[in-house]
This record gives sequence, structure tokens and C-alpha cells, in this order.
Amino acid sequence: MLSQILIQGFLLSGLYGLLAVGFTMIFSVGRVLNLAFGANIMIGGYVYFALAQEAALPKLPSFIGAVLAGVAFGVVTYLILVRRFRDDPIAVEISTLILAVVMQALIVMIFSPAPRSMWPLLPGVAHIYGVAVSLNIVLATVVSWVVLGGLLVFVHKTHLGRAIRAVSMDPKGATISGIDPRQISLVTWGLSGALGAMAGVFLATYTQLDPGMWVFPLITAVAVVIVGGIGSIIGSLIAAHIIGFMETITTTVIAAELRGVFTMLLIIIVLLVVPKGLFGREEI
Amino acid sequence: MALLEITDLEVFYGKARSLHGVSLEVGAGKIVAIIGPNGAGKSTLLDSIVGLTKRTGRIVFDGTDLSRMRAPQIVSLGIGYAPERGNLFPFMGVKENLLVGAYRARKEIDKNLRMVFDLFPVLEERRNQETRTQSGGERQMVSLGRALMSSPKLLLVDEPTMGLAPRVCLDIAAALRDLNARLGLTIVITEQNVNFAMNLAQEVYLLETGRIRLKGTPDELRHEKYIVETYFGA
Ligand SMILES: Nc1ncnc2c1ncn2[C@@H]1O[C@H](COP(=O)(O)OP(=O)(O)OP(=O)(O)O)[C@@H](O)[C@H]1O
Ligand SMILES: [Mg+2]
Repeated sequence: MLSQILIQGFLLSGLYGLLAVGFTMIFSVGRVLNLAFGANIMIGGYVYFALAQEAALPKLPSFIGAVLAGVAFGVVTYLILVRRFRDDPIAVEISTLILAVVMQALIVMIFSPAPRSMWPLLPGVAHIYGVAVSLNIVLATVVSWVVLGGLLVFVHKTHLGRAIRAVSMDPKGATISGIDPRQISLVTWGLSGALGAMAGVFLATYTQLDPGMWVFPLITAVAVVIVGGIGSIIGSLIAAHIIGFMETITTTVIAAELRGVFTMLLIIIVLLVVPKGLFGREEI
Repeated sequence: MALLEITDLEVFYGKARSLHGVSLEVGAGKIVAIIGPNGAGKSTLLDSIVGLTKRTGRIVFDGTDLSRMRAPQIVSLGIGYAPERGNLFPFMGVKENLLVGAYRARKEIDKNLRMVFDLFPVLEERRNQETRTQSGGERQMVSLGRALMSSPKLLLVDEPTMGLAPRVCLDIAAALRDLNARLGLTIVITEQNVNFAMNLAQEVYLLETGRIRLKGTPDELRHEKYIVETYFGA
């Protein structure tokens, strides 16, 4: 049972890392919460479903298509909604939440409210230290970690990545270095959209597709970010593991229905004891 | 011809006007100081040059009218700015801060990094230290260094001596003088420390409540009755 917890906790945490980092990037660059991030996840899942299962395209192009749809959704959300309300975080939060609800309605219209089951990205089962895990989850975890590692290298070692961090730490300092914060916001929304869509595909193959699937991941992303300290990529990754393992332990040892409850309890405790999060800072 | 020419600059923050028809000229290769008390509008003036405020009037830099341009473009024309509070990136090391300054001048990174480290050797020793843990003097050096990383023709420095010990002020003055003499860099500084400004600059403007009240060489202004009475407390 211990190895089961370890392995499944690790696998779940990779996915949560993807969710949390995608969500937190936007906050640290623009100081706004993107509540349409859940819709982004849902779009990833449904676009992949439409391409791979309804249009019967091969899996890799379908996956890329889903990620591009996520980028497009992020960029369009920024250009149409967020830029308009640049100085008003509350307006951004309300309008992105409305957008998420609208997207859910749209998905219901196109795909019907019935849940759909997704084929695994990679069929089959692996046995890791005696624990049976689907290859689909292993693949999702590997891809998540490669993407997250690539992202860390990107934000630390490239001019564009450093510019993203610069804007998150001091927009004026970035501007007088010749960086256009609006351009950087656009890039960040696109990147975040890609991460969200990717997480959406994985999540849907873990569980299933349904038009309400944006709510739980959004709550998880918020939870990870609150626990980790909003804005910090490393903090988000560590918090993703704390929550990933906690949920796995709850599911395995106590009852699957209670996993969300413990996450909420953790959020409340963290908010009471360390309001800035365990690794609190607002910059990437 | 002047490198920077400002005519009738007006800046509003909401309904409050911070600059009232400010005009000034900075010749190429000069060091010009703008002195004035708290709230005079010194920072506002420098912010306006690089396009960080809503402004009217004309600002011409090196033959280009900046009035309708946005800050990132203005910076890439060749204006480096070390603002009042530094606006450094606190969770980045010294070298990373400098690299961000090179965002628009990537081909000259090696050359400029060498120049900055030669100017402030302490920064090379501490190149991986996060700037949030640095002393005020070190931060001022990083701020100047970051501005220099963009290969500017004009360097704007807002109150370089604010909160610094006399010893460090002398170092900063020496560095600015060196940049001006050796590289021919044109420099505009603002100061409340009138002595510092008069010793460094070839031309001085006195800004009070958003208006240019006096201008002249340090020698002329040192004998100006108003300056002597108000700023040297005689
Ligand atoms: N962002 C802002 N919003 C509203 N008013 C502002 C803003 N920035 C500056 N002001 C006002 O504009 C005037 C000029 O301020 P500024 O900071 O330019 O003065 P300063 O000469 O740099 O002063 P100090 O020596 O204290 O730095 C002040 O009255 C100030 O209150
Ligand atoms: Mg000032």
C-alpha cells in the first residue's frame, strides 16, 4: 500500500503541477486570477476528443491541436476581456468566471451534456514495484514533467523567459528595460492556455469528459496556488505534491469521496496560519 | 544640436498637474542636473521622458519626437533610466538583473557586461546575489548597470545619492563622471543634494512645484541669491 501511495501520489502531483503552474503564471505577471482557466482545461479535453475520437485523427496531431486550441483560447481571452479591464482585477475575475460558464454552455450545445469517455493516450498497464498503473497515466506524468522542466529552463535561461519574470517582479523596471508588459502578458496567457489544455487532455483520459469538468481542476489549481504561495512556480510544484499526495492518501486509506474535503481543510489552515502560502511571494 | 529637447511639458496625475510647461535642453556629451525639493516633479519629469506618464508638449530625442511613443520603444531608441527606487527584480541575481537590461541590446551583452563590471567591481564579485538582499549602495550600482546594459546614448538617473553614505556617493559620482568623460555618455540626474549636483553637472536646472525656476552653470547658481538662501541656508 505504501508503494501504491507513493507512485499514485507522484503521478497525480505531476498533473496538479501542470494545472497550478498554468494558473499561477497569469497571476504573477498580471496580478489577476484567471477563473476561465478551468474552461481552458475543458477546451483541451473536448478538442482532443473531437479530433482524436470524432474525426479519428492520429493521437499526436490531435494532442497538438488541443494545445493550440488552448493557446488560442488564452490569447483571445486576454485580448478581448482582460486587456480592457487591465487596471481592475475584480472585473477580470468576474468576466473570466462568466466566460467559463458560457464556455460550459457552448460545450453542452455542441457535445450534449452527457459525459463522454476518452480512450487512453497509451493503452496498457505497467507494474511499478508491484503497483498496477495505466500506461496512460505514466505517459501523462512524463509529459507533464518534461513540460514543467522545459518551462523552468525557459523562464530562467532565455531572454523572453527572463522578461516574463521581470514583469512579474517589477513591471516598471521591466518597461524601462525595453520590455512591453502587454506583449509579455499575451505570451503568458498563451503559455498558460497551452498548459491548461494539456492538463485537460490528461485529466479527461484519467477520468472522463463532461461539461462540468472545469470546476474541480480550477479549485485544485486555486488550492495548490494558495498553499504554495501565489505566483511562485517552485512553490506551486511543491504544493502540487503536498496536495497530490494528500489526496492519494485520503483516497487509498480513508475514502475517495473525502479527498476534496481534506484539500479544503488544508486551504483554510494555510490561509489562517500562513496567508502568503508556504513559499509566499507573488513573483515567478 | 541638443540631444534632448523638451518644450512645454505638462503632466497630469488625474486632475492634479505635476509639471507646468517645463522646457529644457540637454546638449550631447553633457551632464545636466535637475535639483529641487520633495514633490517638485523631478521623478515625474524623468518618467515622462521615457513615456511612463500621460503628457503633453514636445520631447525630441536625437531627432525623434517621443510624444506619441510608448516606453519600451523609447528605451530602445537609446535612453537608459535608473529610477528613484531602482525598480530592480528582487528575486533575480545581479547578473540576471543586468541581462534583463540588455533585452533590447542582445548583441552587445558581453561588451556591456564587461563595462559594468569594470565600473563596479563589487557587482562582479556578487553577480549571483539576489538584489533583495543587497545594500542600498549595491542596488544603486545594479540600477545604473542595468540602464547601461541597453547601450544608451542618454542616461537618466533619479536621485543617485538618496539614502547613501557620503563615501558611496563619491563612488557613484566618480562612476558617472567616468562614463561621461570616457564614453561621452550624456547624463541627466535629479538631486536634492545640491552640492553633489553642482559638483557633477555642467548645467543645472532648479525645479520647484512643477516649474523651472532657474537655470545656469553651477558657478552661476552658486551665487544666485535665491539658491544661497533656500538651499545653502545662508
Ligand atoms: N502616480 C502619481 N499619482 C498621483 N500623483 C503623483 C504621482 N506621482 C507623483 N505625483 C505627484 O506629483 C508631484 C511630483 O512628484 P515627484 O515624485 O515627481 O516629485 P519629486 O521631485 O521626484 O520628489 P522626491 O524628491 O520626493 O522624489 C507630487 O505632488 C506628487 O504627489
Ligand atoms: Mg522623486
